[in-house]
Amino acid sequence: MIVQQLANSLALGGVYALMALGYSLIFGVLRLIHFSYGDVMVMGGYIALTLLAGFSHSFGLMLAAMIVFTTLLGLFVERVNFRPLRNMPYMTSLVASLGMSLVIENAILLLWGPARRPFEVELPIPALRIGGIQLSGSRVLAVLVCLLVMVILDFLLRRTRLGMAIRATILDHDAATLMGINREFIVVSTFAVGSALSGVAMLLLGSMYGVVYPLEGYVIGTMVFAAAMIGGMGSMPGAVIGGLIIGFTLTMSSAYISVTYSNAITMALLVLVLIIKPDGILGKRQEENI
Amino acid sequence: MKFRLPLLRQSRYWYVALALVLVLPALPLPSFILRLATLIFIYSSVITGFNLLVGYCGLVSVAQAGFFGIGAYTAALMSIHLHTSFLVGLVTGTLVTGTISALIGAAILRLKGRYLIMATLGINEVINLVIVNATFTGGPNGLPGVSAPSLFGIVFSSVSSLYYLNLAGLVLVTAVVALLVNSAVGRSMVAVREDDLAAEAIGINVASTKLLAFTLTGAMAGLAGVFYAYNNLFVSYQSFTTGESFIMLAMLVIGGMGTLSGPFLGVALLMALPEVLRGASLYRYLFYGLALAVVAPLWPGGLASIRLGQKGAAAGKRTVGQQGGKEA
Amino acid sequence: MRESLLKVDMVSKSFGGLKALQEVSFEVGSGEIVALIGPNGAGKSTLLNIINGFLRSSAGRVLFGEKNITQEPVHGIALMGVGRTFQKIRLFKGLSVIENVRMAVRTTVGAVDVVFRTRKFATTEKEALLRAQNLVELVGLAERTDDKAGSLPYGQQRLVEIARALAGNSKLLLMDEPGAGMNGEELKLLQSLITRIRHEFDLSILVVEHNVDFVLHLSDRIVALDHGIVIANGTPAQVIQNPQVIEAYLGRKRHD
Repeated sequence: MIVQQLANSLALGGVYALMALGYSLIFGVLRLIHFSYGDVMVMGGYIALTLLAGFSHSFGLMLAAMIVFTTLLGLFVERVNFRPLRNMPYMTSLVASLGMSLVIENAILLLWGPARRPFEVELPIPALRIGGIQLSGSRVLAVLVCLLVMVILDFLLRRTRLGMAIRATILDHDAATLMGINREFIVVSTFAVGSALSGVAMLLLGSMYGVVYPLEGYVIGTMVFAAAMIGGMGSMPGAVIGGLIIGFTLTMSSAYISVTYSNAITMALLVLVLIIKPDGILGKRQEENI
Repeated sequence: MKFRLPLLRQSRYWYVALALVLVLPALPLPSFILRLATLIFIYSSVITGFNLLVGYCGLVSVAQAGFFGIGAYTAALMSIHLHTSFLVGLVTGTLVTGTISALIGAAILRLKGRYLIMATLGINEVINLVIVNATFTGGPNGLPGVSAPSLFGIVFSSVSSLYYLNLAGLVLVTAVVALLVNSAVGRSMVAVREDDLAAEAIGINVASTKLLAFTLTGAMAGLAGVFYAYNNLFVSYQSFTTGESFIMLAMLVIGGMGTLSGPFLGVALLMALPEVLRGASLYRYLFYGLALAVVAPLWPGGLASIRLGQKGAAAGKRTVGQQGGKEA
Repeated sequence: MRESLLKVDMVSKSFGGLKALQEVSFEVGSGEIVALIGPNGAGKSTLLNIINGFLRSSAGRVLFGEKNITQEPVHGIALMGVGRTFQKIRLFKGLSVIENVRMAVRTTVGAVDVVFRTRKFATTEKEALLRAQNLVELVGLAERTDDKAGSLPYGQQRLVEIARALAGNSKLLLMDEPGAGMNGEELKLLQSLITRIRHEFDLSILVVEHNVDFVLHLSDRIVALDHGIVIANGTPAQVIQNPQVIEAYLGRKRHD
């Protein structure tokens, strides 16, 4: 039984790892909390579902649709919400970002109503049975897709010029600009990549749980921040670790303690980690140069 | 004098507004306006206290609604089960919330910026989840049955009496904050906000300053919470969610941090306009969101920085209150 | 020698495997101006941070007057009379010049006086403001009193920082590369200001600088540091002739 839960944890953890990666990238480049990350993901999901409603629900098509719409929406948010915030005091950007999140959440509520919406997708992989463990197709898919995406992302970040420019910007904004990297372009690209990652995650989440609901963006978004924080903001391996930890905590506390308290427990874990190691597990201590 | 933050602006508009506030119940207005105004007073108390932490000390927290709730629930429980008087409930509620926030603050205040925000988010979530799931709090159904507040033999049950009671509460909180802000304590908080290492180097105990700000703000939220419980005669978790904390932050930022009038303006705008627009509650949060996303960037200093009847903003001249652009 | 105000006693500091300071010892007498020189990376700022309390030494102790301040918190040390300016200017940028200086002026007023705004409170506030104003005038920024500190040019910001460091009745002033980023004209003004401060306030000053010319005619004594070790401690004349010091500076220049 416990192995079953571990397997589930891995699947959920992988999905959270993807989202935490996307979020961490955006955060690393922007240095601003992106409150609407989860909401963009969910709205993209809703749009894709609505447009493909009569059509086929094939995996490939849904995946493409999810990625396209979350990316477009993410870019829209960047343009409308974040770009005007460039030289504003920190508080203003915090509040404006919060506002955007509320707008998107409530737009979803107004456009699609508060009821949960079924999420159907044809899985290319059937359920597996290994030993005594039942692994649903969606979970197996989740693990495989996550691994694949991470490999692609790793390649993107380490072998392409764009990826290296992104990493340079994350490490040191000013130095990157001085070296001729166009910050604006990097921000937009990073938003695209980060949102695309969440699009993939949306598909996997939807296929695992079979539903999507309007406030999912808020709930998941909070967990994604927690994952990125626990792992260490701006650290890619940290995001993966954070995501796995969150997936593990949520699954385990849901299975063995109570579903209602699983969120509280995860939040309490976050607070604990922040107290013990504020920079997260792999976060670098920002040494103040006195 | 550079450090005097005048309670009343020189502008004559403020005197008019003050007079209006005092005589409002005497005017022939529908009672919902008085009830709305009363709620505005209560929330203004919360936000004024919140201003101390966020605006003056520079520590962003989204646990304010949680502390508001602790005060409210404490008062409600005492009134319902122990039949205590309003005054006893007020003192207990404030002390309990203050103590809890002191303990929490001691644990999390060495976190900086975004980490602190996350920790307070977690705290508020935990508080809220306890409220919703515990039995003694009445769970998701809340606690009805708070008795009307009575003070010195007078029972405050009419709409206008509650109006004045809560106005008194707001005046109390504002007076406390005004005193603090114009003293060495308040100045220390501003120094900590601007540069905590430099503050330390001029002899300010940064850790205890932060803790004091956090505790006082928590206590004031608790105090306002007591007023809230006695106003609605009912408490439930919906008023104390993390979402509500975000709204409170919005009220503060839009009203103008680091000013005394800001909180009131922010609360008034964000509470009154949805009523004025008469939208369904469905639109309430959408409106808040738009307000935040649009208004905040337009007026980074908040509503209080818009000067009526004075020529433009004094460029390059700053007072103790305004916060500069600072990355957390 | 005048009585010792600051005594650094066998202070060592390691960061992981890196030995930043090794058994550094020297004294600063009351009323003395001592310069701490050395090439970049010699450990000067680290030492200053240890004296100040921002860092804890790995070994050794720091004495201020008679008191062992090795384990004291920064604010405690500041209250004992140690003022500080920083390598990277740390002003309260959003506040005005006068407010910056006023922040550091310490007043003792009872809670009763604060709450009820008694006459005593008003007088104390007035005196404090006056003191701040005098300091602002002393550093030559009287015309900029109400301007936002962040809007001042770099050199003037440094002056504000100095005024602020003096406001707390300091007996010892720690200055971390005060001349950094200044042109020749500003440096001359700074030099005369430092000399004036020493006389007017009768305090001791420990100046960290890696620009030796700046401190040569300013200090009573110079302590030279290289790779965390004291290589010279004497009058300016003595120190600049010290072959090890020359080697440290020239040798460093050759490798840069």
